[in-house]
Order: sequence, then structure tokens, then C-alpha cells
Amino acid sequence: MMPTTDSRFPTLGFGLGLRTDHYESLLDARADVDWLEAISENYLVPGGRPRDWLRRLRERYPIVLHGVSLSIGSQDSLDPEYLRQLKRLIDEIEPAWVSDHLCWTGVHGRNLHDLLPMAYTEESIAHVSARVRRVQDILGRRILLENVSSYVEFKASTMPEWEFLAAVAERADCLILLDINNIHVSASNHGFDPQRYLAGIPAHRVQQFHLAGHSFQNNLIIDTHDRPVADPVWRLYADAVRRFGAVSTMIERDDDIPVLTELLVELARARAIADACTDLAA
Amino acid sequence: MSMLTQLQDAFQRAILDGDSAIRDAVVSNDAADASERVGVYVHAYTARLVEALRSDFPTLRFAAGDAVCADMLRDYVAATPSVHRNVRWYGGGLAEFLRQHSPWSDTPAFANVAAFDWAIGLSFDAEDEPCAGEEDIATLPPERWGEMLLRLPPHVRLFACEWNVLEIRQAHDRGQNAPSMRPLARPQTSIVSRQSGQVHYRQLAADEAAALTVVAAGAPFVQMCEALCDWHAQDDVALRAASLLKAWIGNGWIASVALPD
Repeated sequence: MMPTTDSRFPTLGFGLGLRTDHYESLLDARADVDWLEAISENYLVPGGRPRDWLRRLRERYPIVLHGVSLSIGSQDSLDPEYLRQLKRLIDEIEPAWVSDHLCWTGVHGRNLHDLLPMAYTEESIAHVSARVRRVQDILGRRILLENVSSYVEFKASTMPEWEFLAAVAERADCLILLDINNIHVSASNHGFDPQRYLAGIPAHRVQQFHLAGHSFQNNLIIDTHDRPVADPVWRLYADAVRRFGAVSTMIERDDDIPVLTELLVELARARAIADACTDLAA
Repeated sequence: MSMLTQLQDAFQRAILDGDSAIRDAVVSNDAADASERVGVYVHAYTARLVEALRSDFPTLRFAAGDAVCADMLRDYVAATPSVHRNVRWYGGGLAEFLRQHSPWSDTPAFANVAAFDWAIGLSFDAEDEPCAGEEDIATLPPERWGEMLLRLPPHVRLFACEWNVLEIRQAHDRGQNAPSMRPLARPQTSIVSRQSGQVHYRQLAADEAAALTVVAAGAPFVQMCEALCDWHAQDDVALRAASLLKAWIGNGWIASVALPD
């Protein structure tokens, strides 16, 4: 029988993706940010300033670690050296939680440095969920998996993405980082209803939301993280809050990064939407 | 071979080799056909790696100019699939690539500048390690100082400049126009090191370069003194060696001093 108990970590509130542009602003004065999400790989270096900044920021803010190269869906073996380094960073930083993506990043020892989509099949569920369990054993903690934005769907898929994500989370007993922008991007690119996506995700597994901006390329939407969150994504976020409640939320910005105050305005909008929607839900 | 294995293998070949087989496995619809959809990933692969390299090689970009630099980085990406989990390490082979592959090898300065950028990056995030102090030397019996082994910390890197790399980097750091690349009359050794999180670089005097090279090779203090004999009179060597050692310790260039087992 699948576990249905709520095994989530305590909610952190409203956070931002930690980027070098904002290190000093975040340390100068306590910004109105509840927590920070650090890209794990940026700190998987021997030492120096990156690790020092992270340690200093950790004294001021709760931090979660977000990886981009676990490659949990790859047919290659898990990388023990990567996991060893990640575990050492976890031991040092003591993050509130650790996440990566439901994807693969390369095979045959190569890394494509991209978050590549899976075929949504029973074979993939079995493969990924077994690997998540192994990772959780090694790291000694439950991890979060994030839905990626995608531009291709495979003919071999036998179920929709949300069913695949939900099945992996239940079978691996892991948590979900639900990227609201990625749902919007993939829904538009593949022509599915994002409301069905939200409805298909088990609420007791949802630990975190991502919000981000996107851009357009011909008829496709590309997940670029280079501009403010778009209105349709804000609306979908409101729907997500109504369905999942007060879930820790953060905004990602990876290109054309504005000053911190500009991102704080966006974060305030997220707070306002969440407040309004959780009041309504109550 | 499982379906999952076949798909991932074909997808990777599409991205790395331009193989089109994956398109047959991808859904097309009115918004975009399979070719366009796969093309998003193919384009993103090169763009992402070029952007990462641009960030890791600022002096090269400055010296070569944006357009030329983009061309050489695209060539490197096309020739060099990444085997690194962390994109931070992807540029480790760029200097050698530029040294060996035409047309970039026709301008040897490119490889020298790229190697300098890489040395700066390695120093920047090298392992943190405590530095030795003068008191560490004071604990050793003076009659055995000749046997003393000095160890450099990971952030200290000696760099051989064959071109005016430092001049170019200084212009970059000061926001000036890029000077022309020109070969030095003779190769010079520079040092790249980190202090308080900031990476510094400077050219070493010839005698200091020789002495530090001996130390970096793991040779004892007496050999460092012998190297200094090429520049100084016998009576002055001890004073110069002591002066260099004091300065290195002050700069945080010495991680430890020890006697051999």
C-alpha cells in the first residue's frame, strides 16, 4: 500500500534563488526574504569565496540545496563521487532540504548540462524510484524532485507527466518541488490542461513551489528564467496555492538578473497571492 | 536494449552528433514538429556551454574580442563533449585545445591567455587551508633549516607567461582597452594567489621565480638557496632566501614548513 502520511519538512515561507549578484545585498541588511535556494553545484568546489559566502549567508538565512546534475533518470550508474561531494556540502551547510530534477542529463559518461525529459512509462518509474531510494539512503534524508519544462514528448510515453511524477514520488517516498512556470511552459508546448496537472499531484508530497519567467520561440515557450514571472504563471500559482495550501515558494532568476529590490517586489506579489488564496481556501 | 536506454542514447546522439533518429520517437503537433522540438535542446547545449566558458575565460574574451572568442568556444564545445557533472570544470581543456587546433593554434597567445584564466579560476575556489607563520619556522632547529620542506597551498599557482598576458589582464581589470597581444622577449614566471578571497597575480623577479619553482617541486630549502646562487653572491644568498621566505609567509603563500621524516 502506498504511503499517504505527510512527511514534509516545515514550511519556510518565501525565498529567492541565491545568485552571486545579490550576495552583498543579502548580507548587508536582512532583506525581506525568508530563505534562500542555492544551486548545489556552484558550491561543489574545494573552497574559496563561494563556500565562504554560502557559510556566511547560512548564518542569516535558512538555505535549501538545489542540484542540476544528479541525473536521476539516466541509464548511467549514479555517480558516487558526486553524491559524496553533495553529502559533504549537506553536512557543512545543514540545508532545510535538498532537491534535484526529475530528468536525466547524459549517458555513456557524458554530461549534456541540460534537464532532459523522460519517457513516462512504467519502466521509467521503476528505474527512477529505485535510484531515488538509493540516493535518499546515501544522503540520509528524503529529497525533492522537480518537474522540468520540456519541448519534446516521447511517443513511447504511456501516461501524462503528472501521473509519472506522482507515481515516482509515491514509490520512491520522496517529495515534490512543483515548478509552476514549468507546468505552464510544458502545458503550452504539449497542449495539456495545467489544471489537470495540479489535480494529479498528491498534496502531501508537495514541499516547494518554483516561480520563474519564460520567453517565446515561434510557437514554443522556452523556460529561460530571464524575466519576471508572467501573468498566466501567477494565475496558475494562485490555483496551486488553493489546491496545496501554504507551500514554501521561491522565485528563480538566472539571466538578466535585476537588483535585489526588484525581485523582492515579485516576491511580495507571491506573498500577497498566497495570503489571499489561503484565506479563501480557509 | 531497453526502450529507456534507446531513447537516451538517440537523444544524446542528436545533441552531440546531429543524428536525426530521435525525431521518429518524438511527438509532433500543430505548435511544432519533432525537428524543431529537438532543435531547442541542440541549440541550448552549445549556447549553455559557450556561456559558461565565456564566464570562466574573461581575459580570453577581452583579448580576442567577443565574436572571435565565441567562434573558438563553439569549436571547443563541438570537439569536446563534457564528462563533468559540474560545468565549472568543463573549460579545463580549452588552453590545450587552442594550442593544438588550427586556426587558433596560429595565434599561440590565445592558449597562453586561456591557461592564465584557468589558473585564476583554480586559485579562486581552491581548497581553504591555514597558512604557516614565522613561528612555525622558529620551532625548527636552525642547524636543520637546510632540510626544511615548504609546501605551497592549493591557491598558489606559478604561471609561465610567454605573451603579455598580465598586461592584458590588468587592462581588463582596470576597464581599459585591450592591448595588442605580443610575445615577451623571454618567458616570465608569474604567481597567482588568493588573499582574503580575492585572487591576485603579479610577475615574479627572476631569482624569486627560480626559488619558488624549486619549492613548488618539493625540494628542500637548501636547494632553493642553491638556485639563488645563480643570481646572488654566496655571502648574500642566505639573506635573500630569508627575505623571500619572510615575504612568502606574509603573503600566505606557504601552507606548512616541516622537516623530512
